[in-house]
Amino acid sequence: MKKKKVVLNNKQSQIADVWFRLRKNKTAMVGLFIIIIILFFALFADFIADYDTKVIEQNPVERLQGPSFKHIFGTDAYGRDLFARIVHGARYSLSFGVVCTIISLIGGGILGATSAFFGGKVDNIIMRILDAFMCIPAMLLSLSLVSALGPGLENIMIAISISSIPGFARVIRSVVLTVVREEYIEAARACGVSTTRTIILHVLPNAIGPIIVNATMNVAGLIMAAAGLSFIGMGIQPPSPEWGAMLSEAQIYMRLYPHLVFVPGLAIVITALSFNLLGDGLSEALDPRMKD
Amino acid sequence: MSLLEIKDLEIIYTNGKNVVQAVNGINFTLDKKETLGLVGETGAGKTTTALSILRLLPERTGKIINGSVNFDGIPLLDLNEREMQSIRGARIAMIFQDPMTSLNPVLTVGEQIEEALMLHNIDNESKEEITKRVDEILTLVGINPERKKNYPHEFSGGMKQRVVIAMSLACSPELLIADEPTTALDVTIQAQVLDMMEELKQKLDMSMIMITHDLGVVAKTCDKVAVLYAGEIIEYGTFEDFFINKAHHPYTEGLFGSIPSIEDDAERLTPIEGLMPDPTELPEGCKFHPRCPKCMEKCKTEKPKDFIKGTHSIKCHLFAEEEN
Amino acid sequence: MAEILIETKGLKKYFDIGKNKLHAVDDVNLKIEKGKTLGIVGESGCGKSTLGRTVLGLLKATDGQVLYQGRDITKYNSKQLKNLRKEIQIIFQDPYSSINPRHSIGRIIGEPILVNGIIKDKSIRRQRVLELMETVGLSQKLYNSYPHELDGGRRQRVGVARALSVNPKFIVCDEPVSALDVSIQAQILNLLMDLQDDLGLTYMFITHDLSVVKHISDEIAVMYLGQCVERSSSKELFKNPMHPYTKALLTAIPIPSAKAREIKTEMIKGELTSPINPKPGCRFASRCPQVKNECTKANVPLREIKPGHFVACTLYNNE
Repeated sequence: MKKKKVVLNNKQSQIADVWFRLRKNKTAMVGLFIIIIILFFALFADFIADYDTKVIEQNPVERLQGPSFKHIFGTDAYGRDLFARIVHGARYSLSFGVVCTIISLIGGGILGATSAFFGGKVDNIIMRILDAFMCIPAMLLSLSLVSALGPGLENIMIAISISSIPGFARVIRSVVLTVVREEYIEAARACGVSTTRTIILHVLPNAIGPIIVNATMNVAGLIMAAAGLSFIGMGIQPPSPEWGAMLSEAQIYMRLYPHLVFVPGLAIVITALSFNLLGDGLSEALDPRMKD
Repeated sequence: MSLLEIKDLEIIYTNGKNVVQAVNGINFTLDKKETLGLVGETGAGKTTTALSILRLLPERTGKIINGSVNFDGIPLLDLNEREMQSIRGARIAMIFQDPMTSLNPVLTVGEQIEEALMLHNIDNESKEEITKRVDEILTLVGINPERKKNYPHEFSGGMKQRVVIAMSLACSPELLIADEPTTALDVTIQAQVLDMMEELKQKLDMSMIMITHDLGVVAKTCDKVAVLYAGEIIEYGTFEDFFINKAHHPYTEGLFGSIPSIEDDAERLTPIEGLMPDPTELPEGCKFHPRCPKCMEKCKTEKPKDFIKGTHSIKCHLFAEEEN
Repeated sequence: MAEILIETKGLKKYFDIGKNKLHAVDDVNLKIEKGKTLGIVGESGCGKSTLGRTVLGLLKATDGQVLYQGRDITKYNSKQLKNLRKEIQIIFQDPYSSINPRHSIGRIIGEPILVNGIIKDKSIRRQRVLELMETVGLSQKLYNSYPHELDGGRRQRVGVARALSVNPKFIVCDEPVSALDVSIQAQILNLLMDLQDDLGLTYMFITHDLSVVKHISDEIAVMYLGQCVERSSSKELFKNPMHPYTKALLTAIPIPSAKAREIKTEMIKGELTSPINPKPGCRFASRCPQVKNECTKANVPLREIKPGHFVACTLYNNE
């Protein structure tokens, strides 16, 4: 009875099915909606506010104003429009979150999948090296990497990506391990399919669900990590409008002009939260047990 | 009076997109000390019927839309959850197909049986009495009581199924629902477990519903048989009606023909062609007609009634003509 | 005498379990003639699936030989093994897990043709896949469907079509019907028998259910804990089972007839013992109703008691 039911519900494409279940999850849809808005701001930041005149140029006359019609988030200590800076800052945060996740996903994917697929010695060597990396807290690892490489957008991205590779590798390894035990992998071998082809066409597509969920959640973590690095001055340097860097700059004015802290802080929290909500929703939507 | 009486039971599953008509108007009765075999293939509605008796259908999707279930005069479908809990396990017990997943791996076997006893401890038995009962029950199912300190993984498949049966018998239920209890077991072990169940039934005066796809198991254990197809009972009768009488519903005939027999020397099997119908779009008329080798025009449009001859009832137009 | 397609000689497959050795397949000698079917029967844990996979070369044998057309495939390197895939194929037990849920039916059936480079042209390959689908009784409409849209019986047909796609000579059927409903089981069994007649295939048919192999097999080998305990033609085995284990297996099958209650089954007690570091002697001894002293003293070899009927049991030592 149950088996039959699952077969039936599975009809049509699986993506459509996942979308159908995701749509029913309100919190996930809120998360997705906010992410789309942030993405929109990031993409069209130059049309919303000019980078040179609004974001970088100092304007001492208008310094430290509260929210008003002209500056809806107010201005900072140098008279720059906070809204413009937040909008441009979205570019940094999103690219950190998304690009670093993709890089670490590829790195972790290769390591994790190889480890799980071949097992034995290969597995042991890869996993022990990653274990060693896991012993160092991610923040400390990226900090030391940045101080070795020097600040700068690319270097920070590399540092953050590397520090999240071990976690990804572990997750992907465990997912691939369960897929590898499926009979169709053995069937592929019995048909004479090569190892690379088996991994790419048979193993990875079937492991993709949990990996997507993990990646989405990871984006939130990496946005926080990048903001954290910038906050302690090891990340993006002022006057670039990075949210973490803005927070750091605002510290000394916190008592008298709390909006300077609130606005970038809230931006970080909302973005990270949205990705977490979406990730939660995806993990439910991708779980076939939710069909009952 | 009969112990269990099911009338016009209809159950659907919904998930927002599709409506699956799992059970479509089932009627049967079960007397004390009787064994009823519910026979059918995947998707016929066997397990759904059993779960509805215990009110264990998946809450979000399964719905009983019509009918009644009377157990010893109690209308089970009208009880609240608390009243139901006092019946579940104590008066009606169920064993599931897979013994590997029905046991908790972190508790010893003895602890699990003890827990089942404690849950329905009506007579306020003391700790020692319960420990004694655990030993008794284990002996009953053929396990050395010394093994109660072992964990489930230390038992083999057949032994685990014995433990599961022991747990379900802990409170001496009046009705035992066994959902494919031996399907996951090897034949020699299946024979042992079936034999033991038969013996226990005699000893404990239980009634039993045996859910299975295997007509061989039915022949060995059941007094009454109901064959399910697409959520309907298409043939219902006593053991003699099925295994001595020659008149059968074409689907039942097909089931008999599909089983490779050890005894005769037929070269080929005669299977039922086609597949179970899609339960979201059941066919008009007789639900079996697209697969039926004896399908008539009438079968495609008109729903057959139950044609009753003594204890034997068949839902098929073929027998209507005989009657007239 | 007919040509022997595949033969095992003293085949052994041990698995390492910590410091111990699990004797999954222990000294098995079999022969299958071309165009015939050998049924391998045994309960779970008797090593029948391991035997099938070792014969295919999917598992490396610990010792002994697997001769395919006279050549020992246990010595093959990976390239030779890959070529062997075109000759030897397998049909799996579970139609739900043995085909990739993300690939379309057409792609699943066509993949072995593609990776073995049998047909390079895409449209000819498509044609071939459609032909195969017709051969196994799948509607050609299903070419672009996905496995989750199919029920168990149709999925198993996909598995059969995939195995046939490379035109193999020999197919290992690993419990191909035990996960299916009874009415569907009979359909698949009939299909496999038709294919054998039409294409001259040779089968090794692995199952736990003696009644299933009766129709399809020419010869049957009964396995117990990694060893073959009885081997004879199918008719002879059912008419005259000799090993106590075979007898127990036969009587344990519930028969769907009124006679079922009259027959008091001669039941064997206990369950399978562990195949880890087994003691010498007959492995069935601990459950055997007719056990004697000599059973546990030394290994009991498979001997030809009657022409073509081999039994490993001390009961027949004097015959």
